[in-house]
This record gives sequence, C-alpha cells and structure tokens, in this order.
Amino acid sequence: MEDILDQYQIIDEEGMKETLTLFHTAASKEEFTDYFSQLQEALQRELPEPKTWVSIFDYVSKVATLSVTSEKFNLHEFTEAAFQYLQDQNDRQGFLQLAESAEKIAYKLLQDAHTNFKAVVFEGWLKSFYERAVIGCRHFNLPELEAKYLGKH
Amino acid sequence: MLFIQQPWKIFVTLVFLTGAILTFFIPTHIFTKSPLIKGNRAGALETFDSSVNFSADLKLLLNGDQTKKDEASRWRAVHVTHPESPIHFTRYIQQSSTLPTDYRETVASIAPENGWFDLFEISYKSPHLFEYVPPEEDD
Repeated sequence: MEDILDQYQIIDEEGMKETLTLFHTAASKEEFTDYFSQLQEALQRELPEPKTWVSIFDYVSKVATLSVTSEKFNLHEFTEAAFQYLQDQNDRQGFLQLAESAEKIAYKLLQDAHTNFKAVVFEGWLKSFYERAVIGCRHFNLPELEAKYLGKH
Repeated sequence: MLFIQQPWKIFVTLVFLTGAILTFFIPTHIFTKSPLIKGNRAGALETFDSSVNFSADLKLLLNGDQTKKDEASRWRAVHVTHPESPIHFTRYIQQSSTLPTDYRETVASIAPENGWFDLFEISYKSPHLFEYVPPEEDD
C-alpha cells in the first residue's frame, strides 16, 4: 500500500506544528458553514425573473467551485502531509490526535456538502484519510484502530 | 422494449450511471493533483447584466464594488461596507491572493465558532509548509 501513497517534503516544520494546532482547533468546533447556501438563498430570494435563472445557476456553480477549490484540495494534501510528518517523527500521540480530528472534520464537511461534486471530493478525502490512517496504525502498532479503519476504506 | 415504452427510464439510467462513474471510478488524483483546480484563488466572477433592475444591495451581493479595479478590492469594499457579514467576508477572502492581516480578529468578531475559517487559513498556509514529491516514473 505504501507504494501508491503520495509523498511530501516538509519545508516549514514550525509552521507545520502551528497549523496542526489550528487543525485541532477547527475540529473542536461544531459549525463549518461556508455560507454557500446563504448566498444561494439570498440570490434566489431576490432574483425572481426567469431569464436570470441561468445566470443564477452559473453564478452559484462558480461560487461552489470556488469554495471547493479554496479549502478542500489543500486540506486533502495537508492531512496527507501531516500524517506522513507525524509518522516520520514517530509521534504516536500526535498521530492519534490527527486521526481523531481529521475524521471529525471530514465527516462534518461531507455532511455539509452542497453539491455532488463536493461530496465526491470529500469522499476522496475520506478514502485517502483511511489509507493513511491504516498505514499509521501499522507503524504505531495499533491493531484495534487499524481494524476500524480497514473496515471503512 | 421497456425503454421504448417509457423513455424517461433511459434518462434515469444515464443519470445513475454517470453518478456511479463519478463516485466509484474516477481516481481521487484527478481532483487533487490537477493544476486546474488547485490553489486558493478562483478566477474573477463575471458580472451580472447591469441592464436588469436589481436593488443596490443585490447588485453589491452579485458584483461587488465595480468601481474598484481588482477583484480583491472589489470584494474587500463590500466587506468593509458590511463588516458584520460573514458572507461578504468569505467572498472577499476567496477572491484575495493573501490573507488579511486582521484575519483572525475579524473571524473572532463575526464567526468565532465556525471552524470553516480555521480550515480556510490552513488551506492558505499549507502550500508553504510542504512540497509534493512526484513519484518516480518506472523505466
């Protein structure tokens, strides 16, 4: 399985640690609103003319795509790189903490996905997360957790 | 025969197959490694037809401040006009190439319990933290 994993070179270790702390802070929160729905509702509420609906669809699609491009792809890579970093550091506690936070955030974002495209992106993230987690569990000798993640990916 | 009698079933079948292909068969790499969809900053949003009689608030919501020259300024002006609105703030930060210096203070003020802003900050910082190492090609 290791052969197919992407690899990352850490270029700012302190920044990585700080950002991991921020990741755990995010995981401690329950709300993950990106305001896409509110924007969509505001547009639909105030744009009654049929000829503008195509524009609304076009516009909302762009905003949705923008929202996806802005946080999900970089987050995907961040969690992959963070797993690799903690494993390289042999940081067992950090690995467990990251797994817990990433699972919480990924599921929350998946629940909040507004479009099929977003949902596919989040599912891709979850799949990658479980692959990394299984490898980390093997590295840190966590068979029970490994079994849990193996059943999910 | 069934499809000929009920052609809508063709449409339903096509939609199902498309969803199945998207969900199960497209590799994640297509999404995560494509240079077309990486990065924080999206392209400029096209403006709406100004001949349509929108309210001033709606024009602002749709087009930002069109007196400004660049995208970040256009949407920052809207955020400054409505500093309490997280919607306008997210529009601004998504169109800007840098995080505002008062980013955390602003978030603490308008949406302190919303983890999305923490994730956005991480997504902004992460390209500076590590580099993707492309796999070596087999001979």
